[in-house]
Amino acid sequence: MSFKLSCKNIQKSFKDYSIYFITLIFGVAIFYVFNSIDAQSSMLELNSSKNEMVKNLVEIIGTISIFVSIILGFLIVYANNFLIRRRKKELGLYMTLGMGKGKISKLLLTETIIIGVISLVLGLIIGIFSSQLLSVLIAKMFETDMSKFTFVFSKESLIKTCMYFGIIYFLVMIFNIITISKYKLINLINANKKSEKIKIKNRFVTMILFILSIVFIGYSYYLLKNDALMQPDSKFLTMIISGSMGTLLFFASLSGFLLRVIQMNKKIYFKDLNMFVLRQINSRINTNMISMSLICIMLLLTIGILSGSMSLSNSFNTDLKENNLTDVTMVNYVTLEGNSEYDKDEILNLEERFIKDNFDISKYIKEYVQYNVYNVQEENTLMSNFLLKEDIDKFKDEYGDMFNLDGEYLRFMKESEYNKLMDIYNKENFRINLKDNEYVVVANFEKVLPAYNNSLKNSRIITINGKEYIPQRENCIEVTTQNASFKMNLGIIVIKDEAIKGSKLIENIICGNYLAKNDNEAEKTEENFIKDISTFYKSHESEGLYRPYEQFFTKIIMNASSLGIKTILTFIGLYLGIIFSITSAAILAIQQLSQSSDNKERYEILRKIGADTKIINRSLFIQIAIFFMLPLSLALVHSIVGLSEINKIIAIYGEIDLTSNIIITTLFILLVYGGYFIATYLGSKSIIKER
Amino acid sequence: MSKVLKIEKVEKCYGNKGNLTKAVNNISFEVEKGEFIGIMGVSGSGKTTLLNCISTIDNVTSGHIYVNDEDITKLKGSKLTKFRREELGFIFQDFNLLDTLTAYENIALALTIQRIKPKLIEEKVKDISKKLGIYDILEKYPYQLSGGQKQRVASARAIITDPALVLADEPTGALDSKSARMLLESFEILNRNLNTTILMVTHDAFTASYADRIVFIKDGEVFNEIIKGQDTRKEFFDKIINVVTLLGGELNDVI
Repeated sequence: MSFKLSCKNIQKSFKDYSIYFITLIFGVAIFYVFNSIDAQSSMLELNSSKNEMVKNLVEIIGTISIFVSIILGFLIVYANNFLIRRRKKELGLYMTLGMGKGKISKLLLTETIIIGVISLVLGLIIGIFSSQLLSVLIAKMFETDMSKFTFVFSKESLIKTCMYFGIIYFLVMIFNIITISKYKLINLINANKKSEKIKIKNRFVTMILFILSIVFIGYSYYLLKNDALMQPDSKFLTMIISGSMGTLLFFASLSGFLLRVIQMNKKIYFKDLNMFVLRQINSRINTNMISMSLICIMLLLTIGILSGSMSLSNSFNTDLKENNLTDVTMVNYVTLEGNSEYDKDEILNLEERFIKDNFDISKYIKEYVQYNVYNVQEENTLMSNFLLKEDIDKFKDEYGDMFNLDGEYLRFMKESEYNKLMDIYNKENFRINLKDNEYVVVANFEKVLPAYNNSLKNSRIITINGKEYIPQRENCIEVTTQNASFKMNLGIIVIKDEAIKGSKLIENIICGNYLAKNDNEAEKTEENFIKDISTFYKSHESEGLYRPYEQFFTKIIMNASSLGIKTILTFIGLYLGIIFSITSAAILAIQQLSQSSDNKERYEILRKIGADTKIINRSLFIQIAIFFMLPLSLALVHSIVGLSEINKIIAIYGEIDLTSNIIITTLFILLVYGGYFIATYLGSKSIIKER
Repeated sequence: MSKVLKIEKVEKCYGNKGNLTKAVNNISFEVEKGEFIGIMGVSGSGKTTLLNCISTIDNVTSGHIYVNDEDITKLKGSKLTKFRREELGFIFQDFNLLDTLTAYENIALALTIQRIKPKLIEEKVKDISKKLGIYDILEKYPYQLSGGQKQRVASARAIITDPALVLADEPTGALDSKSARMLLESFEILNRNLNTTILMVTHDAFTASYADRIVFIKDGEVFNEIIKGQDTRKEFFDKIINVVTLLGGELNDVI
């Protein structure tokens, strides 16, 4: 009997709350899809480094899934609570008919189980099919061909999805039981009659709150503009708290503020149903302000995560080829404490070290160039003296303490070694031919280029041991001097070999190419090289032999890690972006729909006093649109301010087109959000339709 | 005097062929301009159905209803809402005020729907509220008002658009006797001073005694009709009670 009743109830409410059910199904499907990455990629032929990436990705997605399930759990519990409250009268009827609270709980329990099973089954079916698309995406990202299509089904993901959603539904049941135990029969029966007490805030209070909210938001923007992001300390926390407070107060006071302002203009206020719409919004905003603020913050996160991850993944990709002109770079920081050559009078370079240790690198490396980087420790070769003061100030303004040039010396390199490096790079036209008193600057980090160029144009003279050197050209030579993930050559002065004889050696670098005919062989060689070198030095550790280099950059690792970061960022962005946007849109939709059925009477009155359907529908549209647009607009403003600041940090890794990223993100949100908006409007329209 | 409302052989049936119920059966009567007419009947007699037909909320099965010589049973869609908006004013038993709006705004809403200029709105609302004695409570919300005040606000909303006909459905149904008396006195003022035509449906003899003429309905048909004429309200009330007694026991809640 109670099972039959449950089924009937679901059938009945399905029409009104189809948005909720669809969101549930979406949630399940998305959860399954992203957790099936492991299975999806196992069918692709991936090399070991890419397999490592997939492992990382799976791990990160797993962690995020916990977070996602919390968000979805919140949505489901919230929505369910909403639906229960709407059924007060029905529950009251059951109770007057003699049904005990236990029985009612059981009834709701059955309903939750049925809804849970239906949404899980449907969601999983959709998930399993759409996860096939994911393998195409993975194949594309990892640049492997999908020679044959195989239908992939992930048992692990299926079990995980069932488990996580099982827990969520279980929580829903507990919440339901708690809610019901609190209800009193008299309140249930009178639920519909009770007219809402409208709290009207004092005009003065509203104004003050609104001004306060603007002050709070303004203050957090001010902190943001003053490097709050770079200092994750109290300043950052203050910014977050102030921003959140401001957002909450903004939603708490905005409608009252708008009402006051528009009331002053009688032409607008007394036009059509404007007065009704405004009052309607104002009466609801008190109950909605917390959820509005939460939605606003979620949308902000969506925009931030989506466009941030897009920006980052783009920037990681651009300069990779240009900055990895040889297969491998080994760097020996000889001035680094702990380096085996540290503080020695006679410093052995990498080549000499390998020979001394009796490790034959020619088995792996076909050709290489070795060069040294020096410091000339004189007053005039300090960075802060070489660059113009205004350029240094500009640097400080923009990056704060991120680049501290105080006490840093210029780095020098010999002309002969530079030319050899360009030879192995196959950059004939980058070779230089210096006169005795000339130098050039080699750099490619975008942010420092103008600073160097300004100094060069001013014919900055460098004095070493009393001899003066002048710049050969007015601009930097833009090229890298080692393998790197982005344009990060902060500048090296290339000068005649004799000029820096006896200067302080700080780095010793080898750039070389593997003994290999093609990419596959190179990959194997690299694997062997890394493995052999580490086993060699491990086994000789007791004899006091240490690996001679501190850092090891290879083209293959750079490519893989950039690809890995790109993949991870893309997937995280998509996963969280979709979840956040559907959650916030669904909450808004459920709220609006239930409000529409609460307001059925009011629309009925409007109709009785002669408002026609067109004007009523228009007022409904405006009302829903305002509720949907408010959090989105504030989130957009927040995100534009926030992203422009974040972009400054990302820009260090390369130039980014932020605007297009925000536009793409906004389009994505509008698509999801717009879908929910239209569905809500149509649903509300049919709810308030004339009986 | 011109006829504001003319009801001609109106029938309203419910149910299907097998089980037909005639809620309104061949009713005809006329209402003149400036008249205050009451319709009485026990519950289930068809008086509310008749009112719904006149107010175009429901449509008739057969017959015609003319308001200012226009056959409203033929109206459809936007013309119907336009008619309802411009020619009719409603007063309901449960007030039907919007609880989110102040009294002032509730009254003004009827005008904004008709797209009246804001400047005119203020003038009209103030004018009518003074006449109905609600000028001082205009800035209050419905939940701050007593039942009688709410009903007078609703009355103000009903007549502010100068409708041809004001339809009042059990207007005193939710009021205590003092408020009811005050409201009915307001009706008298509207009727006499503003020449408003009022059609009031009620089952309460005391309420009905404020009307000029009363049409009694029983089982969907006109049962009797009495006119106040030169009688005092007390005499008219006694007459009503007599008819009510004739009508049968069910209508025994007379004060």
